[in-house]
Amino acid sequence: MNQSLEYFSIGWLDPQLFFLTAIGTFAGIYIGAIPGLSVTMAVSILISFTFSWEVNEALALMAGVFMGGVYGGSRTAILLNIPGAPSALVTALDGYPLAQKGDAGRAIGLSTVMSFIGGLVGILVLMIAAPLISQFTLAFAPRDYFLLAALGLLLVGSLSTGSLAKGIFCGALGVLLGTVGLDPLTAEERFTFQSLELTGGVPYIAAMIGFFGLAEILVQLHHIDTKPIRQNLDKILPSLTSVKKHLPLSLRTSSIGVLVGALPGTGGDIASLLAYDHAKRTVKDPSAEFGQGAEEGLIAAETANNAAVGGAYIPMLTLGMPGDAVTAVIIGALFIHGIQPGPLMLTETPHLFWFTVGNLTLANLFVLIFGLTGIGIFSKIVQCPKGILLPLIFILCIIGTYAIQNSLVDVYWMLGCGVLGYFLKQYGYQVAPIILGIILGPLMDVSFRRAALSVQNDFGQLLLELVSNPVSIVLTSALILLLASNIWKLKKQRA
Amino acid sequence: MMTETESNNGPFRKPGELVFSLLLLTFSSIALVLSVQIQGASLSGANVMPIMASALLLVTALLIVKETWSKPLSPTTQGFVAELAPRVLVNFFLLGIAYIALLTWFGFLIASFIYLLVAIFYLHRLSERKQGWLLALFVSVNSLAIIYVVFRLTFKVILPEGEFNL
Repeated sequence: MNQSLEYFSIGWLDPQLFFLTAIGTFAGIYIGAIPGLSVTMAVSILISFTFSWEVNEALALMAGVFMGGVYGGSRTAILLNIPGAPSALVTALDGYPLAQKGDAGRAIGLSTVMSFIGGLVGILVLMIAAPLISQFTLAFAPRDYFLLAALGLLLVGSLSTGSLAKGIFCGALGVLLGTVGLDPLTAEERFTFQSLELTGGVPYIAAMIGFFGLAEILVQLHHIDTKPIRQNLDKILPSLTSVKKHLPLSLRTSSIGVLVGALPGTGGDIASLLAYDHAKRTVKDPSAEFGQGAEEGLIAAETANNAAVGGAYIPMLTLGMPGDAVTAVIIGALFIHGIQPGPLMLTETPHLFWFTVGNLTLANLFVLIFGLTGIGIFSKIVQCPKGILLPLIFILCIIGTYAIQNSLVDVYWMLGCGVLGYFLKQYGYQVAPIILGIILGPLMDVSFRRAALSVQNDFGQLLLELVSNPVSIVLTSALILLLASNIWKLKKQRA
Repeated sequence: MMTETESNNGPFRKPGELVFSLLLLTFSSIALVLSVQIQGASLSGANVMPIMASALLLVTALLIVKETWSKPLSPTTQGFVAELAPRVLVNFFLLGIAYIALLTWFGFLIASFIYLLVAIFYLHRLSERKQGWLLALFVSVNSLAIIYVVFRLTFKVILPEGEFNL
């Protein structure tokens, strides 16, 4: 216990780590809020700059950007009715009407305090649940990892798009790209076409920057002449009475957030949607009608999406499974630093787990501090014209990609992925499953083949194991149920 | 800001969507053929995951083509160029390609300065409907100075030097 506390406090006591977390959170709030930037894009670009750093420093900065970015998305949702991230979509429903009534300051203050409470609940659950889950997952067999990875990919592919086929296509494309290079078990070349550059596989950081960075720049060019709206902001600190009044609701919706965030493949967007629905059904006397500026709607969305951050870390640290697109990118960062997140992480490198928990707590505190100050500067930065912002982001994409291996080949990969990502987005495909697939592909590949080897390549025996082992039964059933429910949902939509 | 995707799963198809889905189908077919050619005869062979993934790609690509085929083209469509490849986007991309070419010759500082100056001037003129050479110059010089201090001097990131080592 004492040792855990010691690891927990590393980020708080080391001035450099403390400063990096503060900088990360501060930058995250602006990145999450500035038109044209997303948290996933920022974390992807950051990895390429921080891969030569000590792991604690890199994690401190990224945790800050993640925590700050999720919160920052709410700012523009309230002020401009433009959600900074998918997780802030629901925030706009009541946040923007509040701003239209001249209550933008109060809405921002309330969302900041509630984001803090949500974030805290998420971290608390992470602290308690992760060690327990980790113990349980030590009993996972290779086939279970394969099933879990497939489940995660299916969840990401199906939850966020109207077309199941498109979601699965993107996941499968990612897995296929993840197999490019030398086979991890036999060192046989796969899809390398005798090219030396391809033997190391698809440079997934370049791919990430392309899919999340360049593709989004190209999408934003369609709205190059959108003018930002100026807002007046008054006193923002919410009263203690108001916080106390909404505390029970915020704790309920935080719980929803952390639970949803912990499911592999789901993130703050689904969490806030479900929490909003919960608030709508259970709050009898809201401050205004839901959708017309109800404080309760804003609180539900903001607590849930911030609680989902802690939740998303649970499958990432215990199973090595990303909870959402950002944690998928953070897993990539851990791999670069030679750390394999998964059940063994808590027993082999407990310091990293407790350091991460301490760091997220610190970042959450900074969200509260930075969230309640500097609103004046904030409103000016958010109004930065896209004509200036987009070329600068493009340069950051180039520097970030080049920095990985000091090679322009990676830059060409980034360009290619960016253009592909642009068309995929335009035609209603999700790019997150591709990245998840590239990262999870090798794990699926190795797990499946180890499972096959354990039954002497007997397909019948492998199938039998899937329906005879309790963990495998649960995972197989979840996979089938998810697939069936999606097909049923799509048929219902079409009927 | 943006959401992660701009969805097109409505009742109409976008211009070029059918061609795009056919390209994906072709890609999936080639991937399956190449996967089968990878050595490996057992369930734990090197070709198992590529075959599984590309077979899934092919099946879903077929479903996507069917789905797209059945959707009519939007009656209000303005065509592929106007909706998906407007001039601003093509020009921005070409500027980006030119920037990378300049990077290989002149290195980071000169190439980035020229790129930022031209790109900001061009985009700012489009968005604000006014000339802004001075603004473009001011932003380019200052942002490059910040980028250089932060990335090269603080983070020790290696920036492209170019053939002329500038």
